[in-house]
Amino acid sequence: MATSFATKRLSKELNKINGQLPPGISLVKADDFQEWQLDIKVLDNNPIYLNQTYRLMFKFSSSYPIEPPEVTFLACPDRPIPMHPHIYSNGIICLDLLGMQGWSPVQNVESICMSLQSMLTGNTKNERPEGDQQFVANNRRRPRDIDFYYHDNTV
Amino acid sequence: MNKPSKEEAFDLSDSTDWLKTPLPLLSPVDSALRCQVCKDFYTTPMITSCAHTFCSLCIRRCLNNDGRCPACRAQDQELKLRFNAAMEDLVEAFKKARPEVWEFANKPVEVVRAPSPKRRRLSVEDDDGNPRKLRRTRSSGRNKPKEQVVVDSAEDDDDYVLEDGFVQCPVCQKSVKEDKINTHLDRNCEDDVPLTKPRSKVSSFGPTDKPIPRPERLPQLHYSMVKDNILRKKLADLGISTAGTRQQLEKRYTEWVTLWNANCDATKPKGKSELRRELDIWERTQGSRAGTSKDSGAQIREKDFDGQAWSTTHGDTFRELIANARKKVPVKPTTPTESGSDMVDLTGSPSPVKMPTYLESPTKSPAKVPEEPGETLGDTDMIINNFPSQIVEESPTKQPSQRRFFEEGSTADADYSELPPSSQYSGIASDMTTVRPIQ
Repeated sequence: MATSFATKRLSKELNKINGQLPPGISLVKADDFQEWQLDIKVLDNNPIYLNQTYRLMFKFSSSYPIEPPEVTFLACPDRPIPMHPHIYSNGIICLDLLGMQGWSPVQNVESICMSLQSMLTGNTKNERPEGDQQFVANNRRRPRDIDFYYHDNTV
Repeated sequence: MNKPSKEEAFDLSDSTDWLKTPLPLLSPVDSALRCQVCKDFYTTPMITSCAHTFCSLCIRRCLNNDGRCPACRAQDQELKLRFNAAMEDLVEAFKKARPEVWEFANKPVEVVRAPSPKRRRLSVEDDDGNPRKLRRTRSSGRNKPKEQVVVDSAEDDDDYVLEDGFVQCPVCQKSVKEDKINTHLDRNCEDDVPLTKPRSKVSSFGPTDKPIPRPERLPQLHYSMVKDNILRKKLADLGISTAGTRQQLEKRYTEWVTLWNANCDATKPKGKSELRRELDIWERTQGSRAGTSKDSGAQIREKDFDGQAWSTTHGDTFRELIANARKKVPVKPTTPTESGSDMVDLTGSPSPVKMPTYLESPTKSPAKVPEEPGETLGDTDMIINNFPSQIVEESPTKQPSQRRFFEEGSTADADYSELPPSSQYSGIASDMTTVRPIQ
């Protein structure tokens, strides 16, 4: 059967992930090459995220890794959406790494998880993005179709 | 999609495999020989102007997508890629050695001694029935076993009983056929060099060594300047499918050019039918995927381009343009197609100013144009429906700046025809200044 570029690359990544992952990152589910779930934890003592685990949902298109995967936080019973000025309460993440402009095919699932870990670690504001309520209520688009305006380089 | 558990046809090896073996230092070596995009060993490695190396196909796909090096995000072009021959040699050598080293590294400790890796090869080497010395292991890694038996038996036999009809050379101690010994001495003991060298070359480069005419690289198209039927004809000429929407045609053509050009870089280019098969795989796995209009848009946009503000500022201009278009259409109904062909004629001159492509997504276009009901204007309707992206290319009334561009384009075009054909393509600007005074 024809194996796509994306499948091949993802199976390599999965193989590696099954071997070992950096601290605070664990694989939850990878039943196919379209959708994976991973759990991440913040490793330091940042009070906002202390003792919390967050679930990430990865969705891969057939153009991965040329195109970025769609990465969102997923709310589950004991997996809240982390508080962060760039994370909407529906789990959508505003991070240039995940957009067409910031993405590079050398990134991978592991590096995304680590970037998100450090994005949380470095945050000191226990708040949602501006206009969160409105965005969450009105957004019907998929994250890849949203035009984020990346302006804030401090977090 | 297949499940990860399913057995895959391809190699799933990874550089981190080595970490679990007694040779963890091989992990960075293995990793350095892999492409960062596909995570596989380099296939036809190409080096970018920023000195990063990727598989030809991988880097071409990346550059087609956003024109940047995946490793450092520096801008680059396909034209500037150069073949990294040293890397290819390294990869090929390492790929050959890897299974052996892997097996060696994973043997229980007491067996990890010189003779053990040899055992596997005994079936081949035992043909001449001699116990081999460790030295052979090295040479057998490099040569194909078959011929190595020939070469080595000639080399090693001096250590053992000489076969019938062989004598030992007094200079180099090699065993040489009796009737060849004089020529051997005449040639300073180097007579078997021309014999073995070409043979080992044949064995390592394979039978495809016979000269194949190198295929020529194809240029990518400026799709905005190519009309549907021309694009369809190009695809048909290449023997690939012409089915699907315009967007699918463009993607298919781009992928074909990428596959083709990557193949041109290869040491051993594949046949056209093989490439067609690859295109077919691509088509089935991602080609006919719909809803990718955003892709082409995202690459041109600046990171901090504020589409909303842009459309508010320029919304009036568009409304004006549409109003003008409505007025003019009944007078010159065929103008849109004429201006379309104008653009095709501009080949060779700089590509037309492309409007920021946020326009391609209808959801982000400026406020809706008030459309008078009951007014049917044929072409104008088409323009409005595609508002506003089509306006840029098809509206007969161009914005002042655009009109100026097209006029310049066509006069410049006329000028070129007076020049020798060669100057039409290379360094137009400098040619114009240097040629003019002579005339």
